[in-house]
Amino acid sequence: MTLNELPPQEKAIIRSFSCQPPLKRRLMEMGILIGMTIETVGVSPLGDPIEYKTELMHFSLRAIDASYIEIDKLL
Amino acid sequence: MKKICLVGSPNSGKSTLFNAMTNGNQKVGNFPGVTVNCFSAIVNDASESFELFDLPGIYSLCPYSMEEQITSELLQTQDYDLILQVIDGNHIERGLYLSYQLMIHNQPLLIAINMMDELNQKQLTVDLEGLSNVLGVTCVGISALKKEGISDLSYHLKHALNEQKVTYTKAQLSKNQEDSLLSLDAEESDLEEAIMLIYQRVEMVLKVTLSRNNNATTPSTHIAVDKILTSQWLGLPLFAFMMYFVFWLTFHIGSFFSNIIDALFNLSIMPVTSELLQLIGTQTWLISVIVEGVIAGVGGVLTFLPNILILFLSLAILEDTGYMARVAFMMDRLMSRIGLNGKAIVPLLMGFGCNAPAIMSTRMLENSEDRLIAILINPFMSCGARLPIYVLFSSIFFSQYGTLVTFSLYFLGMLMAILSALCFNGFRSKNKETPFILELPPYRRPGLMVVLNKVLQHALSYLKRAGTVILCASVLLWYLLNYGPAGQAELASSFGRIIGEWISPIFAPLGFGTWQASLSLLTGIVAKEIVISNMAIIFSNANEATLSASSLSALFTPSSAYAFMVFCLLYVPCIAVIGMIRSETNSWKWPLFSILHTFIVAWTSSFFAYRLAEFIAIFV
Repeated sequence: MTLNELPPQEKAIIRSFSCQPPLKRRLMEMGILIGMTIETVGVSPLGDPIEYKTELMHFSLRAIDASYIEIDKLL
Repeated sequence: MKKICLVGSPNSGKSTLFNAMTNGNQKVGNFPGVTVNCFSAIVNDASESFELFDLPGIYSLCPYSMEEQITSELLQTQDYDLILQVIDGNHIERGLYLSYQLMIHNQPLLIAINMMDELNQKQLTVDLEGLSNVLGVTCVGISALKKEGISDLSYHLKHALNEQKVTYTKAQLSKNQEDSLLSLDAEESDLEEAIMLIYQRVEMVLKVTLSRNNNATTPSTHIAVDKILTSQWLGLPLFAFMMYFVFWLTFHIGSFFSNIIDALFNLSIMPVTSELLQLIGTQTWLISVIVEGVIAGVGGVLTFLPNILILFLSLAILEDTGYMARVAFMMDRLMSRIGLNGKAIVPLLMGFGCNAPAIMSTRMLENSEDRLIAILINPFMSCGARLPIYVLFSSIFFSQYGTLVTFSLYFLGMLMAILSALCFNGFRSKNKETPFILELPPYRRPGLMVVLNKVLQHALSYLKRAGTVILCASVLLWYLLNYGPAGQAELASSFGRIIGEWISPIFAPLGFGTWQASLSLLTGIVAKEIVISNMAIIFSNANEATLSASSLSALFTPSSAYAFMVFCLLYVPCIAVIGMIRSETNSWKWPLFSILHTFIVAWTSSFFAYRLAEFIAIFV
């Protein structure tokens, strides 16, 4: 499952990044790391980007960028 | 004098701390050796004085956007005595991640952990002494907004400045790993290892120094607020309403004060000065320069100071509460249609205040092509200096529809910005898209001093222009209007009229081919507000104390007045903006391109606006 498929208010654990180096680096440097719990908060009024939250921060990603992040959904 | 660099991630309260430490006595200056504009201030104390530089916020030392590049390059010069790092206590992990990177530069470091009050509310306790010991760097807890812990910080600052060698315990990285953190195209494996190593270390450090009071759930009020402000149905209407409110404040409340200033100039300052000068026996021509040239010109500009102050105040509040980040979040989809990302909305909105700082703020955009497009379309966002033109003309020619007419101009400006962006997109290189990661900081009460300071800086630069460029232009214009080839002359045979008539054929197809309009537009390139102050001078010469409806009606019809406003909206940016485009793109190519582009767009739009208005006028 990828991050863009995670419905609002549901949580998952980041398994891996399959994105290009710049995005991957930016995510990691902002403290979004493999093994972290991530939650979808909501979607922008126009449907994209999507707001996420980790223990460390709130941030938003476009669906296309989020689709490069592999996750394991928490039940 | 010793130099201290203030470093921290965006939204860490860096500027608030800077204000608290300097009591607002700051100036925009260059960091020595590097031509970088940043706020700096000299802090004087009984025993020590030093210069503090407020550097643009960074997440890491890797330069993604131009702003971050500035900070990381500056830190690499090592031409400073101490780095003062501000960490947002709510994001202490990320702050410490940056700390470990800053240690790579081997320069003295001091850490201020900000927002301790919020941490206390969340029932989190940081063992500052323990943290200082583990890191080998003194950590001070502060609350910049409430000005708590600032004196403690100054004490440690002085102490740290006099320390000779660095004592910190670095994250144990190999040379390759360290280098990879500093460069954009680093070896991927080195980089990932380095990042993970640092974060692991940070986690270890925090395990022993950060204690969480059991079952204290963090109250996330900001999610609740976000639910409304960015909600599916209410988000965009609320944004539209907020912008409408900002403009309502600017127009209505602003013009209340404007009228007072206007009355002050026309009813007291001008006649009183004129009489005083007569009393002391000043020559008539000198009285004329001072009253009709200088005072009328500068007064015409000062009148609009309240409007501009209100606009900047509102934008500064929206930015500092964290709402602007939500605007970027909501507008990203739309902005991506014109090839930009949500962050580009901020410079565009700032353009409504003044295009010069707005163009500077495009530095936060990561992609250089995005940035160039954002710069080139910015002049179409109608700045505060153009507002007086609309206010004056629409109140005279469109009375009760004035606000509607003014709104139509703002929309036309935005439309032209969008069309131009779409056009420019065709010339983009087909390179990789820059990812759009946007942090959504918690909503905060903005610091009063920080907001006021921003407004003050803008007001000062506006006044500085009124006192310099506009003053000179006013005197020059007075000369052009009062002198001709045959020496002192009537308006009818002045230089001004000759120049105006010479260029007026360009504007004839647009409906305002009069020499007065042409001359005003020409001098308006110096600064847009001059268009109005010129009108004031031209008509005070014609023995009119104020710009009355009758004098303008003689020159314009409603259709040509509208076309004139359209032209003012879109034509050549003012000198300040041209200079800013030059310095931000580092070449003369783009300012020249911008001049040409805006002129063509302005002439064409104005032409169609005039024809359309004439056509409509047949039926009204």
